[in-house]
Amino acid sequence: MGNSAGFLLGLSTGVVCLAYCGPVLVPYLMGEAKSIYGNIGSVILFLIGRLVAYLMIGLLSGIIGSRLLQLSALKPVFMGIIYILLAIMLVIYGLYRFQEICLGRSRLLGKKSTSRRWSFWLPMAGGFATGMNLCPPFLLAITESIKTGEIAGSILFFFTFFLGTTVYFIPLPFIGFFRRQQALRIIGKFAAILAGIIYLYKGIIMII
Amino acid sequence: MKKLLAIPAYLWAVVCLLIIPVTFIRNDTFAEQLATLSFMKVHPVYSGGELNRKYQQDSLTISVNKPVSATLLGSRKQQLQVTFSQKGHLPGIIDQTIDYDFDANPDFKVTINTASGETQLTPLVSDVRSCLASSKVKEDWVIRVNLDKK
Amino acid sequence: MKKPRVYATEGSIWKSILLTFPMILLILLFTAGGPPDLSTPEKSIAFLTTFFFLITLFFLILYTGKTDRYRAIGFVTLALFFALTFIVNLIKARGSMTFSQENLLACEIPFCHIVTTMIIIPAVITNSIIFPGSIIGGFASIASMLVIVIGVSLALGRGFCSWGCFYGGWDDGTSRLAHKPRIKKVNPVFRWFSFAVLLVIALISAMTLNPAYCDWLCPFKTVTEFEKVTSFSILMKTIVFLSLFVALVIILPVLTGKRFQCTTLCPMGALLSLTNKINAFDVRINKENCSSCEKCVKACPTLSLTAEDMTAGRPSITCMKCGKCIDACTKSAIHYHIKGTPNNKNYSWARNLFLYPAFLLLVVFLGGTMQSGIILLINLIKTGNLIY
Repeated sequence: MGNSAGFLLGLSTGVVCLAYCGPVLVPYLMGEAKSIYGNIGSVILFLIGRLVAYLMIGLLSGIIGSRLLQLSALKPVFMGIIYILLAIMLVIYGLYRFQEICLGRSRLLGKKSTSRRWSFWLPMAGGFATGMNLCPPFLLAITESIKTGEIAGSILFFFTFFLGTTVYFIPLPFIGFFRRQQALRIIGKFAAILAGIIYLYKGIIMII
Repeated sequence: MKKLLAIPAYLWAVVCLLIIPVTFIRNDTFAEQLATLSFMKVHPVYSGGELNRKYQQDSLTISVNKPVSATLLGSRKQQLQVTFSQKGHLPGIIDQTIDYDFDANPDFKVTINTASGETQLTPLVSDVRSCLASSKVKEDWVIRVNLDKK
Repeated sequence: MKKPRVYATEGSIWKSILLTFPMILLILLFTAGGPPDLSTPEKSIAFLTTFFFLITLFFLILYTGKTDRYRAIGFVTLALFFALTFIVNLIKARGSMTFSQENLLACEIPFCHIVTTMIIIPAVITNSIIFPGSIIGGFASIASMLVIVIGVSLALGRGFCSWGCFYGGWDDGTSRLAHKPRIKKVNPVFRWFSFAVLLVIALISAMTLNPAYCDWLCPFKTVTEFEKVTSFSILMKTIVFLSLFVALVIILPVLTGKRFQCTTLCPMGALLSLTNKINAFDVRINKENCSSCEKCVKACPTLSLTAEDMTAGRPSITCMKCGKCIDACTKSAIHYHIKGTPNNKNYSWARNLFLYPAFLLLVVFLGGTMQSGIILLINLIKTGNLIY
């Protein structure tokens, strides 16, 4: 029962997931301006990050999830920290390799290997951070997974929930259609910085 | 060939020239037509949403609207609008207990000083969070309450 | 070296008068809306001043061949008179520049063209408009403003930002204050920033069902209306929009000579850049005449011209068709152009066909606003009170 419930919940609320993850993922994809295949890679890494976050939360919600939710004082602090982490990541991403755009070459990154490492970890970390975002579908999923009453059931619930929401991420790699437009890369970088500032503000407000 | 292609280009330029005066001269007509389109309505978050029930309590008429979702799709955050009206003037103090879901259990208590606008909202159930707005609107007093979806 | 005459009207009084004549009729129509109201001395002065001011500007644009020089006078005047009349009307109606919870709850907030950028996605998803304004009727209703946005987008594209926007005149004016800008080189990469604002604002507004730019960023709330400070959150918003006004509308335009707010922040400008392809007019560079002196690059107030754009023969999509680059070019290598027509021919036709709708847009917005503003100023002189 849990498997289909998780999938259906993901399917029915996936649009919201996209709305929450979109401001993070779309600027990233535009900023990277890879080929469609490159973007598929980024989206997959992003989704892996989300999956890891989901599985971890599945595990946690199986053990202490219900307690965490009951501690209303902790909830905003937890969300605030997540928002701040996400914001820092977005701003770093926005500024990272910006010189390359401005001056036609990278000053920050002389070595290709460093670039590859970043382009591997950034989408994954983005996926992880947005996966930890306590958005409404996610809260619902936590509540539902707690009902399963066991750790394995809870993890399985989150896995199927992840599959359901992932359907909505399928069109995103095609943003690579615009890969030749350098302007879109710049816009993506700027958008990431802006989104970072917004999440930083939200995070700070939640904590204080 | 180039000259032939230029003809529609010049024609389009003339049309663009005409669009500006027509837009302003016929603005009211176009606006009325545009307003008939299905999306041309203010979102319930701003309009207050549909009326759920209207009832008489003491000398006040209380209109309780249906809760509306406060963010896009499936959010737990909701808003509720309640309107207090009375023939003639509103009383100096409105002190009412509201059962917004009509389950025979009061959901929140609200005390409004209509002279100063000071509003105190006391949640009586866990899904009522806080008072979002409280103001005189024309002859009525309107409050909006933050709710969590049940 | 004297600039060669390019346009048929340039230096010719009779041709300029002849082409001004249709505009005189249009100015009469749009400033008076019928027979002019000369019932009081104030109204007569206001009407006649506005009427002759507009005619003179149009005549000078034709006669001198300088577009931006005279456009800017009208455009800056529009911004100043718009702010004056808007604020005075608000104070008359509400008692202050701030709007209250009552105005929000009663959906009485005037709709401004910039909100268009935030309502599109929610309108598609929720089939409604996320703005506390009136759909139809009253001042600046949603339907009425959307009709204007659609009409202007079709006819002029981003030309609106230099000929009709009642906010743009602020940084257009401040960018001209310093004779020589202190910061001479601004990285053209910043011309894309407003697109990032558009992207983020559109997504955030859809997510939160709240027109986020109006709520948080719009610097022009400083000269129109803003929310009464009743909480920490509103205080933060007030600090943000005031800071943006000081930085982007005053300090940076003065230092750089560029329209910084319009270039880097305004999401409406970014949206209009995207719809710029529809209308018939653009600006082109005749590479045969171009000496690559880059005077146009320095002159462009929106960073829309770079060396690469000159090679491509046209400015970037962010061009607002203000005509400053055309005025700056000593070789007459830049000109207004009708898309689909030969690049190097019929400069006069293209310019005149563009000037009529563009100047008419200025007339429509400035005509009534200037008359109201003049009446207010006359009453200020007579009574010592602006809000009578």
